[in-house]
Amino acid sequence: MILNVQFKKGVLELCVLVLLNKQDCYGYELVQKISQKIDISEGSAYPLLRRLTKEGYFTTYLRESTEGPPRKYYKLTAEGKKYLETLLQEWKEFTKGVDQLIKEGVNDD
Amino acid sequence: MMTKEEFLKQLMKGLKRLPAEERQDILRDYQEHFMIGIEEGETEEEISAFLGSPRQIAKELLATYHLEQVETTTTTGNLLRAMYAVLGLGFLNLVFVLGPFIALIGIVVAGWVTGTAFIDSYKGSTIIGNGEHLIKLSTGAGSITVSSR
Repeated sequence: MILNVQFKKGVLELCVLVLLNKQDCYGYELVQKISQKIDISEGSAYPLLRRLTKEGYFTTYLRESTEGPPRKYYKLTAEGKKYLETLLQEWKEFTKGVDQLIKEGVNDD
Repeated sequence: MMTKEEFLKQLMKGLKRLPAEERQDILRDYQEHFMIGIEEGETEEEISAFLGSPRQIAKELLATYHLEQVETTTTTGNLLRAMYAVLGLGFLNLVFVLGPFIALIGIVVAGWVTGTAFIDSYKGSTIIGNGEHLIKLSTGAGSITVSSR
């Protein structure tokens, strides 16, 4: 379970970066898009967004909404893009390694 | 089942030790989340259930905040505050954080005893923490860096 929580946090970080690489989003939108695909504790997305913003990977701005008050949008910075590329590379190597181990395990049976 | 009011109140209670400006900023994020959720047709109780425990969120935010302070200026005081905040995340942290922390203090003390050359030559890093939070401690060039992951 310990691994599971931490694992999901790492994945959440990757998902947020990937989504923002496509287009700027507001917090609620990010949370919805991710929780439609994977099971996350939605509240922990905001601490993550704050941390990554402070680390310089995102900038934020307010944009008017037709339905109500302005919403806070997150935008990926150049530094954030670089960070995303590193994470994606790590993710690919990680899943490749795990896939190989699974395959070997299955062949042994 | 919590209403928006109850959720935000508990969250703010957990963040009492943060500067007012930081707290307001966090409050705005969660207010916006509730507001949009309600526009989308969700009830306050549904939204707070999906968000999770406000006390746990507050602990995460506190830990992140204190770790940032450590990153900007490392003094013994804020290093201890950061450790305390991370420890606050749960009992298991006691095992996962305190152990390596004591080991690190050992390294630092050993460094002082044998002169800074020791730290200079000891370049390496260790990652400690549990499922909720990880801290990377790295030494090198006569200093120790603490960063959150």
